[in-house]
Amino acid sequence: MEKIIFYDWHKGFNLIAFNKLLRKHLGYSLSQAKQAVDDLLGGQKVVIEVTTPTFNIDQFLSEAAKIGAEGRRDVSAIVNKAVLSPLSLSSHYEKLPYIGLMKEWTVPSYSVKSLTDSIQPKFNNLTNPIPKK
Amino acid sequence: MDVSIVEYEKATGAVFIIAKGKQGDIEIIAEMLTTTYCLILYQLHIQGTGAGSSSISELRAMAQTLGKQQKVREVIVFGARRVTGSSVGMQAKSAKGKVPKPLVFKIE
Repeated sequence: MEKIIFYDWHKGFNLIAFNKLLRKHLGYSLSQAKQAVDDLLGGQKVVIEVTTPTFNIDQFLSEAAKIGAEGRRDVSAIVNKAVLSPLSLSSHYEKLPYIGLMKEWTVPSYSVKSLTDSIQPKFNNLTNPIPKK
Repeated sequence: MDVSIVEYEKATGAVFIIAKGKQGDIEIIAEMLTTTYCLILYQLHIQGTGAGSSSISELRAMAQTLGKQQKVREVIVFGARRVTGSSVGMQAKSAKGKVPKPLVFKIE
């Protein structure tokens, strides 16, 4: 499942058009779409989960950009997979240019955190072989 | 002025209104709360045909019509954060765009 993150808006942002866009492409209800628009206006990030495999994210993002909403594809899942298994990188090659567009976090720090998060539980499960005196 | 409620979600109060303005349709999305005395439009989003296509007098006329339709004596509008005008500059994301003061329209 892929995610889209809307993180900012420009002057002249067409609120009603963005509301309609969310409803048309994602099947949001009027109130759900309005809540998303209000969150974005208030400076919060709006994360949208795309469940339909045929959904054209690039087209959706370009339509949103035309009406003043700034968003990007969330590539954290792809980066995680690529860091843990470098061979899988090639299969996501076409999506990687988006990494360059990310402003809010850098790939290395995120990767280290995700690696730590995935490895830590394995250590937690180990019992200490040296008995305490 | 011709004002019609196109869509209304009873559970959440979200409402989609279209008003026929002098220079085209004006679309409004807000959260509507009705009491016996007044009608409140909260976090109102409004979109006209372009810059300068609508005015406060048109908004007043719209509020009058809507107030009469809903049989209330007052319409209170709480606008959402502004996305046009000088208030939208280089501020931090959370502070970008002024939140306008509420407008109160008495229904004659």
